[in-house]
Amino acid sequence: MASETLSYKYNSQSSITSAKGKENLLLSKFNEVEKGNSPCFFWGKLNNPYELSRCLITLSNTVQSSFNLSPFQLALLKDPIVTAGNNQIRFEGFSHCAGVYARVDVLENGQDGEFIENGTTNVDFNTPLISELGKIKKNDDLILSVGEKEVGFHKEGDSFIERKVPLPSKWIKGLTTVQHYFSESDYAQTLNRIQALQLFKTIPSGKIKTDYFLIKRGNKYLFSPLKSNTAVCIGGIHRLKLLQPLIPLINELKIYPQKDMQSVTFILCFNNLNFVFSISRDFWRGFSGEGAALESLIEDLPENLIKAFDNYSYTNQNFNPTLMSLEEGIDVSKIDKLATKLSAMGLLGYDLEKNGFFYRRLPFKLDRIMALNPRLKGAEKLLLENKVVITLKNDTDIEAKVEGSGVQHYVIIKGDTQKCTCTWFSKNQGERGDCKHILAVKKKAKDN
Amino acid sequence: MLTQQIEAIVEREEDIIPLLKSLTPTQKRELVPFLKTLRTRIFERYDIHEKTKWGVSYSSKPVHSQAKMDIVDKACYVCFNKTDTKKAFFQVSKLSVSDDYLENIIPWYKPKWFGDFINDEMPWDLTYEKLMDLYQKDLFEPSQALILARLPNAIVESSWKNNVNKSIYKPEVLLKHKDTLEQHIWLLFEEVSGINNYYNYLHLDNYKGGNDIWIDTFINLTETQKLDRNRVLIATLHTSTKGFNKTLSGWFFDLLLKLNPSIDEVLSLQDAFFSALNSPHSKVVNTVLKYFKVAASQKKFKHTVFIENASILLNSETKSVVTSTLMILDKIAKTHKSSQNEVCKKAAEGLINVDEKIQVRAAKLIEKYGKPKDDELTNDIGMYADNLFHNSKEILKDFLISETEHEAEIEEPEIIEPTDVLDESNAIESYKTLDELIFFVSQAIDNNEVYHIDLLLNYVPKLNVLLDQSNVAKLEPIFKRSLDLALSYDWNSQIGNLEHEAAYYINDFAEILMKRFPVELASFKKKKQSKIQKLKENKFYSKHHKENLKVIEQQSIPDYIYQIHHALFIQSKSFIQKNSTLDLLSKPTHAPCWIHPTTLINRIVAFEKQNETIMLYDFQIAISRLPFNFIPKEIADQIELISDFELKQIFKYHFNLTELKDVKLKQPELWIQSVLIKNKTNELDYFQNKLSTNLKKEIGTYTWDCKLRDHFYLEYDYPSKKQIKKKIVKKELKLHDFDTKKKDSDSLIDNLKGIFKFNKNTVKIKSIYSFMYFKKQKYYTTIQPHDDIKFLYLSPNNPSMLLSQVVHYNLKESTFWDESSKKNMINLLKGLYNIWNRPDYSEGAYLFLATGLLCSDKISRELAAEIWIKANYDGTLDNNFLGSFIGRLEAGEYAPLKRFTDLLTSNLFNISKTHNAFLFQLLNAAIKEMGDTPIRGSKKLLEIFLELKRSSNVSDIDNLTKDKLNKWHAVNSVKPVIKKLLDI
Repeated sequence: MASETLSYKYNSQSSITSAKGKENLLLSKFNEVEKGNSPCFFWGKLNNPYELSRCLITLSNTVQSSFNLSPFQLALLKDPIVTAGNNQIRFEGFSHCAGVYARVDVLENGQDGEFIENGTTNVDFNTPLISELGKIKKNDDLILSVGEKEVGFHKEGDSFIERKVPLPSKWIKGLTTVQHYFSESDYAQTLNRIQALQLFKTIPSGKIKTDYFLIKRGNKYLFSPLKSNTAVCIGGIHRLKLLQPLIPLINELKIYPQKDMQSVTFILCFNNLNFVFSISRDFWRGFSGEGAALESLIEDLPENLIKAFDNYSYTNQNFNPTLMSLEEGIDVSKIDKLATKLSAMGLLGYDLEKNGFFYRRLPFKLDRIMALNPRLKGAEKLLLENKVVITLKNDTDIEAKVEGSGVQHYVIIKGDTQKCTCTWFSKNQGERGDCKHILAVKKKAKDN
Repeated sequence: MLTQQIEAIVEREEDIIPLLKSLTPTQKRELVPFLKTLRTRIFERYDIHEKTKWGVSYSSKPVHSQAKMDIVDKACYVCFNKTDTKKAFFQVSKLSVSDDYLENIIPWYKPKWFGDFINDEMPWDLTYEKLMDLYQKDLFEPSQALILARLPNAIVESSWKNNVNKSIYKPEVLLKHKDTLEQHIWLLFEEVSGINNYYNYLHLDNYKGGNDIWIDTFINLTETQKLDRNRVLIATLHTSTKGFNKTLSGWFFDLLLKLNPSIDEVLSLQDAFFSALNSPHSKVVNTVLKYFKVAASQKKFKHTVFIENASILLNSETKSVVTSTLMILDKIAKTHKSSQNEVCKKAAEGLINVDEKIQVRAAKLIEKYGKPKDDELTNDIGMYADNLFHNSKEILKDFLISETEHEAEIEEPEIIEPTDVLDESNAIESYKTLDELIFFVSQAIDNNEVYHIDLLLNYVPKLNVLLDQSNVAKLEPIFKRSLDLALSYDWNSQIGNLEHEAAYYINDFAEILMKRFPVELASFKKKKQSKIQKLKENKFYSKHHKENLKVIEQQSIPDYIYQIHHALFIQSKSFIQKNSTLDLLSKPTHAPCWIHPTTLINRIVAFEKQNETIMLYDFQIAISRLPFNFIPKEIADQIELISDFELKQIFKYHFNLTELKDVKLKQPELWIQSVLIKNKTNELDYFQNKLSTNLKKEIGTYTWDCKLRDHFYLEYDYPSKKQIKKKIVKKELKLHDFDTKKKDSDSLIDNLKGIFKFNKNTVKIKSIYSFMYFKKQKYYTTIQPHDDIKFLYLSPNNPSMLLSQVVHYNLKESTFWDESSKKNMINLLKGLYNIWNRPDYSEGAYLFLATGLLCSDKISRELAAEIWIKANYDGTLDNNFLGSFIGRLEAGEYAPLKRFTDLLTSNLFNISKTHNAFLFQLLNAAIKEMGDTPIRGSKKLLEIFLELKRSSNVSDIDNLTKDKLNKWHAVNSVKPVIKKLLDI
């Protein structure tokens, strides 16, 4: 794929400076779609400096890690994104392979400061900063500023750091898919610190290609290579080692598997601070390649709705479609799975603990996000080329013929089940989202 | 004009520089297309084919002289832009290294992109010294990446003299330019470089240090005060946070060790040392702790910070890190009395460790400084009570008062899987409608479920009869996929060879349908033909495609064992041909491979009604798939529905309605599975005597032992210039009476003739076991992973035959030398877990399980452990039998005992009280069989044995085991623990 380039421009380097007994953590930010005027999103004290700094180090380790790429591709993008607003600050990022998602949530009481502006932004994470974070101690006063509060606060105010990286399309696709998977994940277990420690001691060493399963034996939890239909399945279990340094510090560990075991999420709970860590079905499969949210994208959303939504919402606010339609005067009742659609467009994030979507606009241009789904593009191409013929359509059933490479694929949609004779569907049986043929049939059936 | 001028210069090989100097920018631009063409022409090469004594050699030579090419190159450089130059210049280094360019062109022509170009391309021969010279001349500014790539090489100069490469140590290079020590050298501490892996192998004439050359260089630079020692120390410590890999990080901490900071330095640089504790590499952490051990007893040591960080350290996977942390905590408690409470609380976190020594160390620390009345502390310790070894409990008894009541309360585990093999939850879905069948068949070659091949054999004939002109084209995508798979050369790790076989079978189905529906499938036929045509034209694959398009009856198979499925495919194809929709007898009704007895009887009745011949293998597989000991109430009545007398008798015998000695064995082939499955010694003896046939192989019982065995191989000896015989001793498991020859089997066609035409007088028994060979080549097994498990499920009630083959071929030694053997092991253990449902499996299965517990693959060991846990939960495992096998294997040191004791502590110990009692039995039996002198690691084994004895007071040690322990008692290392075990 020809890669687009994304230019990051930070006004200064992120850094930690000590002044008057306080550690000041400045995160330099950059967003290619600037909304609002203030250069600073948040300024204030963080209440669990020791745990938070360890979480941020783990986040940084996650975004620097790669479980399926060559080292050449490794050095490209290391910056997580930060969302500040509604009394919460979230730092999120992906591993390079887009198979591991990590998010640090500073909850309402985890900070004591002012939210000057709401928004989401890329922030600069550099090695000296990480190195400094490692020195933060329990009783330190840690002041965070997302963006510079005062212009010229830094000596190097005029200079800026510019990094040109290929557009992190995997990140963006992954960021949208992962929210969808979250919304399909259910709470499974809570482990206390000791149980979690015992569990993490059972992670086998080396790069593991076999699936592992989380099982409980007595009051101990462990990972076992034995398939069990009821147990949470974890592919590429070695990725969990990223969490190992945090486990001794947690209060508890919550586990949320996705309903088809396509991902599993671990939430490490500290005081007013959560570390959300989600891994894809297998180490060689990034979230980016999954098409779980594709179906929701086949229907276009009216542009005025997206605009209205963007105007109406503020960062980290819980998403409430009814309220929005009332205030903005747009009827959204006819649109199925509106939240999923918006999250697939990078406008919503999902909070597993609260079991709901929150507003978070990715710091990337909307059209970039929309242009990224190959299967959706494939479906649209099929329709454009008139390759979809619906042979039967009634209230519940649709049957269709779709021209594939050299053969006519047979597609049926009956209620909730949909099937296709193509290779993708035969292999995955719908667990990894619809194939382009099913998507095309659905879109055609809707349009007619 | 200009172009002609240039051509003339090139032709005459004259100096082009005066002309190039005179060019205006516009002229340069205009010349680009011409130069590109000229370049192509001047750089042209011609092919040379030379006959040599080894055959024809192919090479090429340039058409024009080097001088001409050089002239064109110069013109190109002056006229081209950056992209074109990059494309044109094969040797970019010319621009930065060649004196010709540096002296004659660069001084008057240096495009803007020159610096970027050099930085991007990093010419290999642009050494650090040369690039610094260019920098000094202000020709370009080297990038960080370029400096990082070249600086590590800078201190060694290599040159060729008299055909020998001479390298000399030249550290003075570092002093030549101010920037080197002020800036460049520090980059090595910031970014990844190759500083750690250049010079270990170099032979240097003027350097006999013997150590790492760069480490010595740094030491010299600090000693001579050319580098600030303090800055080097801090930078070295900070490398731990730069995300360097293990070796690079390790190198920097070797440097630290060589710098050997004094205690004052450690104390003044504490913050940097502390930040290094976040490193993921144990060497880094260990090095820091080494210095902290010395500093911890100093008042200036930031002990509170250390205590804060101790949680992470105490949970390290590296034992030495945990031990050092506990030692430092001890020192802190000694020096800072006020911290003792905090220290004890942290030490309590060390109790989670399953290593007894560490746990005891933590316990002793708590005992030494803790207050037993401190509720918070006793609560903390109480949380780990389940996990404590006997010794730790003894030490902490004052802190565990409240815990004694529920001491060793290990919760009984929840049921992991339903134990009923015919549960509704594992019933296999059946497909009836056309759509269901189409979508099933289209996924059957994807190996989505282990039983899909079994189902495919049954569903294709059923799909066949539902097809007509209106719907047959829906199968096109399936046919295309099968054709692609059959003709593909790509390795697909998700499927096995049986899926390829299924593709051949579907191809045949497509051929049958193309004859029946020529119009509807015309488009597919055309595509198939065009694909074949393309392959025919490919000289490498033309033979391959012919093989793979043969009808299934003529397809070759990868190995003998595939014959069984091969026969089933052929049988199913015959059903298609005669439009039969009968279910094969062996089609499973419940996952992964079980058949409900009632269903099987109904199928036989259906066969009889349609006068269809029962295929022997189909019948044998079906019988083996009946769940052992599951007898439906109404079975006697159902059996009566069968017409054939002998079949009826077999079912009666199988379901305990009649005795073997009371029936007439007309066709032993039909009986063999039932007799093997019931596995009763007297019946097996009767059967073998009656037929004068030895079933040792089918039962999977061999005499075996494990000991050191000599092997000889030839090695070339250089001084004597001869091959000499060398001896190697291997610890090897050997099945002595293993029959490596396959039995002569009748031809496949004979087998297909059916069971009713059987010759009564023969005692040679045809069975699926005649084909079960688990063959091994040097680096792989002939059975592809994924197929292995399907072979295991051919006789789930008598897996010993196949498994003893696996032991013989794959597990002679406990280490796997190839990936496919390892994968086979994992798959077979997973498969065995699903079918293990009785304690009386014969030796093959137990020996396989024992080797599973000891083999070199950790996943396999864990899987074997899971089988042990589940089987003991269900009461379907003979621990004495398994234990004695482990003992016999370890008597010959089959595997390091540590592997087994680690598995015991991490996976098998403390599952439940019942499991601990079984584990005691297992070890009791194992020790009994071990050698008369304890092998390495026996102490740990005995400690676990002691722990198990203490946890279940009733467990008595067997007399023979006691004898063995008495023999071991003479060895000092195990004496104390044996004393405790025998209460002496």
